[in-house]
Amino acid sequence: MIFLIEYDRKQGQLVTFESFGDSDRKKAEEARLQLELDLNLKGIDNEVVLLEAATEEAVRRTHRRYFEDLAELTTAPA
Amino acid sequence: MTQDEVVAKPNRLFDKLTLVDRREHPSHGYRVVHVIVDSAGRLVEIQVRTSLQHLWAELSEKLSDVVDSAIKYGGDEDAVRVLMVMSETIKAQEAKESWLLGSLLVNDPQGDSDEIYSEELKTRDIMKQRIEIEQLLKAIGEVIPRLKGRKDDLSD
Repeated sequence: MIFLIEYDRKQGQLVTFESFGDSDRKKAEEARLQLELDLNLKGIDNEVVLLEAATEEAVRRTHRRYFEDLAELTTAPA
Repeated sequence: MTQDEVVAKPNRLFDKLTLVDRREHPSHGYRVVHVIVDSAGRLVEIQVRTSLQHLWAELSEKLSDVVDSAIKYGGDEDAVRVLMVMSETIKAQEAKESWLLGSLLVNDPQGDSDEIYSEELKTRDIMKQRIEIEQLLKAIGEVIPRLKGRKDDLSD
């Protein structure tokens, strides 16, 4: 699966999260480009990434900082 | 499975492979093993972390996000010092756990109750230290933003 993530670094918060099937790579890449262009036009400096993982659970474990605040993140184990 | 056993796996799957072992010489406290492989002409970095290394890395990244982006690159001295101390503590803990695992595999105390009791005490002690490290990381996550302020806090 492919996941499009928009993350507000200053707030440390997830802004948007969208998932795509493995066969929708082109669609996911276009969505990322569109999102980056929109943010650029608005002057918003959010982090935008496309991540690929077997499941949503896996990406939530490998990239906890996008999904959890400091208190949640330091509550081990993931 | 140990970190070394996981690191050894790509060795059998890829011809070209570069190993970057930051466990002995961490980058601003960041301890990890990176395995860079050539997959169909594209370089892919595999980050192999233990659960404590991962917890440390996520905390460090999150503090860089919400407190000071310099933390990740060793720029905020106070925060980095605290994180580096924790990184060393995790290194020592992992050495103890590795020793314990080896000792449990080698020694098979069959029926000797004193020996079993002693192994149990050692195991409990080392596991308690792991819990303390997790609690310390949690406390650091609470205290550093309070002392340093958050990026999104506009009040002086």
